[in-house]
Amino acid sequence: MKKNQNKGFMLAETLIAATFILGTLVFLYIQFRNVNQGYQTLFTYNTVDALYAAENMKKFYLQDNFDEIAASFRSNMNRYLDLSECPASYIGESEYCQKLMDILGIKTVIFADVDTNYLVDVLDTTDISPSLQKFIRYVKNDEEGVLLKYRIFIEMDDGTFATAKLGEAKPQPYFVHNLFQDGDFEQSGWSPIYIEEAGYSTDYALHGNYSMKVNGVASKVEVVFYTTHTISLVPTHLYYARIGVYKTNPANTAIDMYWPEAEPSLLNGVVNKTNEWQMISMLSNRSTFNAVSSALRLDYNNEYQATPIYFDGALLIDLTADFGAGKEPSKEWCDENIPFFNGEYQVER
Amino acid sequence: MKKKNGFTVVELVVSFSLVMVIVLFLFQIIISLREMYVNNGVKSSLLNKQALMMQQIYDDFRYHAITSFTNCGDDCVTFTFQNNTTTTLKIDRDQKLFEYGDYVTKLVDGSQFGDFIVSTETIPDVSSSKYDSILKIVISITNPLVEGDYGVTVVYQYNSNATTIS
Repeated sequence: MKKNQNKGFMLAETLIAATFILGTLVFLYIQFRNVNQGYQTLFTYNTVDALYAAENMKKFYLQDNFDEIAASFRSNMNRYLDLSECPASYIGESEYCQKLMDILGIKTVIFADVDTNYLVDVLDTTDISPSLQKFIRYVKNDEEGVLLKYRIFIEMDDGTFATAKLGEAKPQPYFVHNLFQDGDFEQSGWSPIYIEEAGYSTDYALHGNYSMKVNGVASKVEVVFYTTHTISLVPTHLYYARIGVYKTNPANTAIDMYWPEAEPSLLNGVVNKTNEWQMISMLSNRSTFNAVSSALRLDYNNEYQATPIYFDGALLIDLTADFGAGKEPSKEWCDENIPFFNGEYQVER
Repeated sequence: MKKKNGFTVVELVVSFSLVMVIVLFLFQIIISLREMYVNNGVKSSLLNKQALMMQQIYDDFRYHAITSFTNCGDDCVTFTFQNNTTTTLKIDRDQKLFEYGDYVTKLVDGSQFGDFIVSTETIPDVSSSKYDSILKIVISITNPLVEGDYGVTVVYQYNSNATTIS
């Protein structure tokens, strides 16, 4: 019988070898393609020229008609505005805008929310070019650093892209703290020197059921009372103090807050409204004092008049501690945006 | 009968063909990688240099309004700012140096300067309170190893009613 002497490749061996080689080639190709794409992205997205061009467009929008652009965007259902043609409906100086875009070499400008997700969700249904869509998907949201509301995406004539954030600041949450333990005078937290001169009263109340009734004494120019607790002050910090005052006597009078018990006062003001609550507020720093923990003194300057006055809704906020150095809000902002509270309260700014 | 131990001709041809295909493919990859390495290295250097040069000028223009600029020779312009300070922008084609004020840098090896253009343009009928004019500075820089221009292009917007750039 003839023996099979064929010792060459079997079909199975050939297939295994071919598959292995093919697999290796595909793997190499994919790795090479990834490296190449990484470089292309590096040289196409957020290039130096494109970034400065975006900054120039941002500068133009902010001084041209930004409020109109922002208002139009907010009312726009497509979640973006195409400003590539410098439409006169949004842009005040359309001709200048077009010239600027020509000089900068910008082809497309898309105005959108700073959070790219709002646009990415509907990107497939838009008229935005595929290459710009790819760039928009590439842009990452940096949630922690997002302070501005809007951003622009630009596509340059040379096929490069960039993005820039712009617009009014997006409100950020802040937690403010009332340093008074009982600012609504609900029968604790405050104490007069003489018990007959001041006490909690239900005659008039701005918050809760009680206020502090202070009785003017005919033999005294002022009547004072204190917090029962001490409050630590930081000399370099800015503080916001506010209190509601109610009087029934038509004559004008004045109040002061001292913390610590020395000039200059923390708060002072004239009470010129009668039979209604009047808010007196002030921003002060304590830079002339040392760091100290001290009780706060509240004065009613009765000027020898034996007439009562009522205090309620006392606030003392360390703006530097709660908002950060350099970010302290104005007195007007505090008056408008911070209601009375005890303990901690969240505001947006 | 003679015993057959070696490869057949067909097996050898198939094996060599496969090896040739793989070698060719690998050569292509190696050549492309080498090109990519050289080009992208040069590109990165050019882009870094471009960013530094543009930042010098943009930072200055952001905080100081320009009131005038004058020629100070070939490839040289002096800017005067509102606070009466001056800064000179110039290039040295022979030494391949870029200078802006105290900042001096040498171009990436093999690069060369092209055009040096400073121009202004005013768009008519723009509201008096808004930007209506554009100052453009273009310094072209090219490198034979890579395509494209890696020079400086600075655009400065201003209001011709508030600032007269002459």
